[in-house]
Amino acid sequence: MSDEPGIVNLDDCPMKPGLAAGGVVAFVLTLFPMSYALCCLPLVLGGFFATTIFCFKYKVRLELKYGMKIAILACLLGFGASTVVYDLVWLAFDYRIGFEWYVSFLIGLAESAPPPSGDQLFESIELLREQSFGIGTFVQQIFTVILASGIGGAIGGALASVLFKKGALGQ
Amino acid sequence: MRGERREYAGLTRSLRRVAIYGAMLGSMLLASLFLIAWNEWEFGHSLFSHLCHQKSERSFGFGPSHLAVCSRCIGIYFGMTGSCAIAWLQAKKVFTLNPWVGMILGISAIANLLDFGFEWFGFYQNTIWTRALLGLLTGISLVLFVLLRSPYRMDRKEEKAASMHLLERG
Repeated sequence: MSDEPGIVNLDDCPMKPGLAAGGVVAFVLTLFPMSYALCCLPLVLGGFFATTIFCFKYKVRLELKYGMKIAILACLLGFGASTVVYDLVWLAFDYRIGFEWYVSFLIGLAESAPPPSGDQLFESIELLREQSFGIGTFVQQIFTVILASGIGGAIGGALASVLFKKGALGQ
Repeated sequence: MRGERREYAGLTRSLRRVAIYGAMLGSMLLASLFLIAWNEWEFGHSLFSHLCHQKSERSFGFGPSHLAVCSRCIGIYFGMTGSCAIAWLQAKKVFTLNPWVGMILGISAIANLLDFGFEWFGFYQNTIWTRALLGLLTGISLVLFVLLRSPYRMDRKEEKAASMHLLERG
């Protein structure tokens, strides 16, 4: 505890429980292709869960920057791990997790879309099918993980840190 | 009373910094989205591929291509960046938490869910502008809600100014 009353020293509160909980949520939600349809919502949920668990575990309320930091780190861990698992399965078994579901979802959209957009979608589906794993894909995935975790984690962490305000202020 | 002032007397220096960072990062994100569309950068589109479905008929066109995120996402990003900029420019005033902000955030989140759900189940067909406007409303209310509720501690000068403000308001 800090010397000042009502202030909790965050050095005494390891991030591990929050990171683990949020990371698991982000991992599960980003491994399956629902993330394509739900935009950054899976990562927002992962980040929100990480900061919430941290707040409840140590009974603290957090400053925005710290809440966002936990959430972004949790999303990086979870989304990074799911990307590695996805790539390993792709390389080892030539199978892309949830890919067929995603393609059938896209085909459904392409069939209901007006001709120019529908044709573009069919073209992009073909490109997706022909895509092979290479260094370019890997580099793109690294940047995507950083970007998506930054945006989703920041939103989720900020929301959680302002919603749960019981307990001493952690600094 | 002191604690209450901390909670309710909003925009402190730290929060102003958050608003400045938010406005800067948001502007960079928006600029990069428009640049990617204008230059048709394939790498840029694939960067955002896990963040959004990027369906061309659900995204705004810009130059020869469409934006790398859908209309709802671009609405959210615009709303967040804009409200960060507003909070930054309004820095001289002391904001107080208004319960309406939370209510507007809740309503906009539910409206987005209903919009998505009703279209998913085929009850009605939304348009690119309804999605963008709902996203914009969510982005604006989300940032204002977060900024006005965040528990930053104020320094003495700020606490004094806030207490004077509260006294003036009775």
